[in-house]
Amino acid sequence: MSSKSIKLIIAIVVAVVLGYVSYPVFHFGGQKQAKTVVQTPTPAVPQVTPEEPQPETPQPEQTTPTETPDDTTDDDGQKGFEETTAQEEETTEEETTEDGDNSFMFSDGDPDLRGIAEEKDAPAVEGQTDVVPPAPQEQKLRAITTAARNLADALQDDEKEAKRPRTTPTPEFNEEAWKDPVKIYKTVAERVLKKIGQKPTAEDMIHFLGEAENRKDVALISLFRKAGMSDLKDVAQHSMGAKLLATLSSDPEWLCNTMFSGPTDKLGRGLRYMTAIFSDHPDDLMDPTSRRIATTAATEFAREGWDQEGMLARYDYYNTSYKEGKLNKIFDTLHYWDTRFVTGNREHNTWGNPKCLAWERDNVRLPLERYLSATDQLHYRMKNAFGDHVHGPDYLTPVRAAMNDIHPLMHREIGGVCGACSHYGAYAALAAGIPAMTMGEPKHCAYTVRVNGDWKKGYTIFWQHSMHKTFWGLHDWEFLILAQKLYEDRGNTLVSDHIAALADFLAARRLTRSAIEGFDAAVAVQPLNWPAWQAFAGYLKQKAPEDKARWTDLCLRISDTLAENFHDAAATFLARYVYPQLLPLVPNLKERNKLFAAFFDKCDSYGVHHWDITPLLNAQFDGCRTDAEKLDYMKTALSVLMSKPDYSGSVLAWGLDAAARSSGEGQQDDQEPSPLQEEFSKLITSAMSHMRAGKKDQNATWNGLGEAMYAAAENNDVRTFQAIGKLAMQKCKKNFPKYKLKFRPFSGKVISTKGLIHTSHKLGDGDVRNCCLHWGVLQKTGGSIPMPMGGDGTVTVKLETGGLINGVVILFKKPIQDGQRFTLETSEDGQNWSQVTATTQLDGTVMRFDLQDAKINARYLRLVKEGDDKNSAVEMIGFYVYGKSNKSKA
Amino acid sequence: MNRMGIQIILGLTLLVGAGCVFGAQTRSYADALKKAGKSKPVVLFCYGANYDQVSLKTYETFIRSRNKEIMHALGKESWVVVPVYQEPNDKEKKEYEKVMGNKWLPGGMWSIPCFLVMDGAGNFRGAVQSKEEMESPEAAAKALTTLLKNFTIQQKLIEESERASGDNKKKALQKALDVPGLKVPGHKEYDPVSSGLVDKVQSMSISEATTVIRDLLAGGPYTPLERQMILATLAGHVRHKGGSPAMLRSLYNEIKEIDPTSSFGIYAEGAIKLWAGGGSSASSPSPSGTN
Repeated sequence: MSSKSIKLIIAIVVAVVLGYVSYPVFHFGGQKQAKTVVQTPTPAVPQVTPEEPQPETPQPEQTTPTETPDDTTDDDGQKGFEETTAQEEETTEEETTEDGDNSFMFSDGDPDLRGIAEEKDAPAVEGQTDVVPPAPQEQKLRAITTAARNLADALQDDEKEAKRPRTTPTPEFNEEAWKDPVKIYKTVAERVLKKIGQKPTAEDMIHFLGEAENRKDVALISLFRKAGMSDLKDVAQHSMGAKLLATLSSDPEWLCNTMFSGPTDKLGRGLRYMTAIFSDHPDDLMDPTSRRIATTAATEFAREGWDQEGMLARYDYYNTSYKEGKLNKIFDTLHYWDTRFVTGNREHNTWGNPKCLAWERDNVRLPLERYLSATDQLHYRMKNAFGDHVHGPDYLTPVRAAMNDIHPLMHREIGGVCGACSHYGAYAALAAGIPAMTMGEPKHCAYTVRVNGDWKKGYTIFWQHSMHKTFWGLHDWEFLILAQKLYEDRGNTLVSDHIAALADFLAARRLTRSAIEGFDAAVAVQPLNWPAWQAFAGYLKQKAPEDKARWTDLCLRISDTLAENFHDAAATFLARYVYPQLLPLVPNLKERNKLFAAFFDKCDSYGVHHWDITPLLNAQFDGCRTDAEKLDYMKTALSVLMSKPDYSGSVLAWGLDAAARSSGEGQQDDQEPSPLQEEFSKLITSAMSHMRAGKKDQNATWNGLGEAMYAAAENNDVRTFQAIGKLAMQKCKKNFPKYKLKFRPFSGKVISTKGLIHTSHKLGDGDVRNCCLHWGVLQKTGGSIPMPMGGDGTVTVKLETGGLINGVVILFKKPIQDGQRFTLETSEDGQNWSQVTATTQLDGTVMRFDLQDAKINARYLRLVKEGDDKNSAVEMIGFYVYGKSNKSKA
Repeated sequence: MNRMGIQIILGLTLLVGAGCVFGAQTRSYADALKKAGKSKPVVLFCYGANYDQVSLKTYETFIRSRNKEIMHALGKESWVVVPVYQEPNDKEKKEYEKVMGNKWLPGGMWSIPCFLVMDGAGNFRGAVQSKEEMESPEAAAKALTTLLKNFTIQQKLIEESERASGDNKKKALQKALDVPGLKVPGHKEYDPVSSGLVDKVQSMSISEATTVIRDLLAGGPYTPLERQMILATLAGHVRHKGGSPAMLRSLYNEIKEIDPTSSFGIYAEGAIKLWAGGGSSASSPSPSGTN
């Protein structure tokens, strides 16, 4: 055998062996898989010598956090639905003048509370100060957006460029210079004013922002105005603080991302936090990813009012995980704005502390999509196997020490309910560096994970979501999507943010005309820019509170632009910021309804997400001064919205509530309805009868009537309850059951048929939509009321009029189990109740209370389930009261 | 021996070695199942192929470099490498389908990278997937070796139970369920919470509850964890009813002895210290929720 042959055999053998298996290819979607940390060259900033005395890191003032991460969560993450009150959303940040405006632009709240911090020495300029320009014509707005488009493209390209390795330019303001921040501010402010002129138009501003150094100046001015002079002085006192400011102010990308990637409330504290981070990790100052982690962790913790210790731990976790290559590759692709969702996650004392995050990172490593089903790893257990309730203190106690208080581990092993399950899923994703968050739903906790730019929901039951992480303090789902869409459109948003920052500066310099033109342009360029809209409304309120044309323009522009896709956000803006100013200026009803119609025209369906239209309707209704105006408004609202299936139920329910409120809160049940209420009721009944009931609309009609019936029952409104019931039977007969009910009656007539029935149990969406079946429970056809028997659940019947009761028959769908005890109570006023002593006669599905000997007069009867047996849900299908009504007596 | 001879020996050694060590790896899951037959396991090595550096490192260290311990642990069992993709493109979907066909990864997979042990019928039986198990080839190989050894034992017991009847069937099945770390196909897991047992005993006296629970335990077969949970129900009931510390301690010890390393074993250990006179606790010195 020749050596060639032998070599050939060996080669074949090797080829066979290697070819036997297929080797997966290393790649990250076709790109190089290795992640190298990009080190930018050290900037030419004066270095701190070891000998130099190191002042202490300035600590943030000790404040009580405005919101603890566990405010709606117990120790184990059992979070309920959060009700957000207006007070909670209002910023309480103090306004400042000489220290800059900490709260003007990017914080949520009533613009009333915010104002422009005017610079005392700013000279008045003729034709500028306190001159409000007329609202821009459409043509002008078009010109502005066209001019801005090129700039937006350039900025978007800049962002891509900035991700590449580059040399950090020599800082204009080095560490030494930062010891006098006032001088820096004056230098930059004068330079900007010199370049842009005393009376800049929107076009001038866009032109000005075309130059990179001008954009940097605007960002720097914004840094001063947001952080405040005294905080900046504080930070600059520290050697690392001065170095941070020198580096930040010389790096356009970092500065831009710090200022224009989400809210910057309490930025002064944020800078102190960043100083603390870089004091501990000086090398990280030059690492772009470490900077991103540091900036977002610091600004989010500062904004949320969380402590420095937690912030440093959070930074360490993500920075170390990133450097060790333990995060999902998604993290590498995040910008500053979406990194905030990750590094700013809420539960830094529990689920979000480093040990819990590390455990989830290492033990629940999954591809992105799988985090939405990670809850499958937990057992849903209200009580654990030892019989301890999840909300009690003992559920996890015996394993805490042995399992090092690692929440995800403890819950995976012992169990949990919706809070634990949702936190497990959300924090597993967050631990891997993927944007996610938990969200409250009525008596439930769910979560969401961002997958490929879309926020996908996990473990959700209801449409109402109260997001546990927000940019602007607004918890509705739509505001999460709005933030996503806003910052996703990076180019336009950057232009808009720069213009808004410039407008803020011009406003501070008392250049009112230019400032308003700037705000006009900022929201024209990016109509999704919620903070810019807020700032605009806040400034208009200050400078032109009674300028009807301006407020009308704002109303119409919101309706034309933001409302196009974001109905909830636009409605919130109108109700909170526009109507309170505008409606008193528009006495003419037709004109007012036209303004309302501009918004309603955009809302053929729910849009982004199911939302609650009630606050908007209330805001519009509250603008009506007389009964005639109220009636007229209601007629318009009903006629417009009843033709939109998504809204018909809500508007009916709202109408019933509004009618009840208008009748006076102190009104007694037995009082005759006021004339206004009568009119309202007629309007509503008439509107309902016009509901379409073709096959296509059948479901919408049924759902709408159900919501309205629920509202009628809640309002104790017998007449409307009955009207809706009859209408539902007429339009959606197929939806009612066809029971052949057989039972032994009592003597007398059934006097409950024309009454109202109401359950105290919290109803889910599906149950509310089926509320017309509640009416059926009083009818001979039968109906349905689900009774998840727990706690103090009751089902109450209000008779049309009071009467002498002979007996009550209650029917259930399935036989009642042994051990379930019911009592019946009666009342004449719905307030004072007496338990009837009659023996309950139970025969399978039929329950009878014989009251013939008791001679009870009552208008209200209620069935109470005794005990707290949550496993014995029942379904009531009939409730019949026999006797003689007072009406028939009369 | 001349150079040629050495080359021949080297070539043959490579060939033989390759056949022993790598011969059981297949290109697809279907091939692996076919090769394994009814009684043998199939091992899936799952790793994140386009999103996870830890996975790639593990793949490199464990599989691509043919780590000796890992290959030894896999032995002659059929195994296959499963690339798992995040937001896969068409090419990546095809890559996955090439290996797994139209099969999803089993629900028992909680973390990637991991080794999953399936049986010849495609049932998920066990996994090596925790951080501690997967952090080094040595640790993973050790865990995998144990799991595969246990698989063989358990599979024999399952087959024995299939052949047997009456008490013998039950005994064999019980033994199969006692094999640690592996699920028995077809065994419906018993959970005293979802089955209503925890609520049911609430209205009972301690002695009534003891009878009910002992009867239930005698009914079996159960996994060790199920037995621990059933006993936990009794222990919790005794505590809530104000039973004696001695009785509690005895129950917790019984739970612990079944498997001290399981979460319920750990719970029992903690509970002895807290509630059965085995230690003191500032946080919860006395049982709460006593009815």
